[in-house]
Amino acid sequence: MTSHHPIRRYVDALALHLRKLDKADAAEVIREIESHIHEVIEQTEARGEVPDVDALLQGFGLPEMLAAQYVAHIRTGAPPPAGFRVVQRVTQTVTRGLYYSMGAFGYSVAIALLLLAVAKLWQPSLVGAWSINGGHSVAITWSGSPYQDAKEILGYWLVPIALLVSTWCAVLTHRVMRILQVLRRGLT
Amino acid sequence: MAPDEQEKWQIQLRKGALELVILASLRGGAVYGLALLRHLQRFPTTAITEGTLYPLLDRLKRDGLLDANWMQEGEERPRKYYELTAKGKQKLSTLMRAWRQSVTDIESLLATKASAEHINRGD
Repeated sequence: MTSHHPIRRYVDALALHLRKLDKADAAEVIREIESHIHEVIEQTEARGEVPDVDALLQGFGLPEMLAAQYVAHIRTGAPPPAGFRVVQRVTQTVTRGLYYSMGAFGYSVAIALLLLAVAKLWQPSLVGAWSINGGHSVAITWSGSPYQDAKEILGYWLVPIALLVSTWCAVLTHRVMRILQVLRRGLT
Repeated sequence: MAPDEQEKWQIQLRKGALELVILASLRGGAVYGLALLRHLQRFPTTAITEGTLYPLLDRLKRDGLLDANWMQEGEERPRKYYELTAKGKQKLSTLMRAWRQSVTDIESLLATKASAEHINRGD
């Protein structure tokens, strides 16, 4: 019976180095490589011989080298003409800028809402959401009623609402950033 | 030529011809990776490793020259079979013509002792 530990180690290492591909592409590569390895072993054992697993794995080369060949042509295809590299660089810069701007904006809004909830508890008479212009507009302020005729509309409900929206905003920002991170990996 | 130089030259030659060799091996119909590898390993100059074959098959598939499908026969392990697409057949014809032309030209060069006079005249 052949020990499958070296094969498991090889396949795990290959999967690790294929993580830059999308999951379906990586799974397809691994399925084919595993199928090949196991078929060779089964055929060898069926002949009553002991398979040389190390030699078999050597035929595939180092997992990182094998993965690099797939990653190179799946992600980038043929190398682009020289002029296209400028376009690629601009795309990467734009994507990097978008990534950090999105993070800064999303988390800033989440923190601001969190501070608003705390401030409402700290200074309830100064912090609030106010109905102004006869109910046509709403203003959130930290310095008391903005106009004499303004009416506070949420009272202490501002606290849970602000906390809820703050959490939602943080979670949404986190998810969007993860998606952008995957897109960045795909472009770099 | 020293043995290692000869080996380097053969590697270069094989690299250039590998796409043609693989497309040509699939002319008879769908073949799976292991069978194709063993077929190529029957010939000294086309004996490649698994680590060369599989990424190349994947690239040819992505280039639209090959189709690939998983198939299972009876109790056997599922295998991924590759076959030529219409584009692949066309590419094979082009590469075969180019290869044969190269072989003819090189054979002619090997058979002819060119004199300086011939070269200067452009014969």
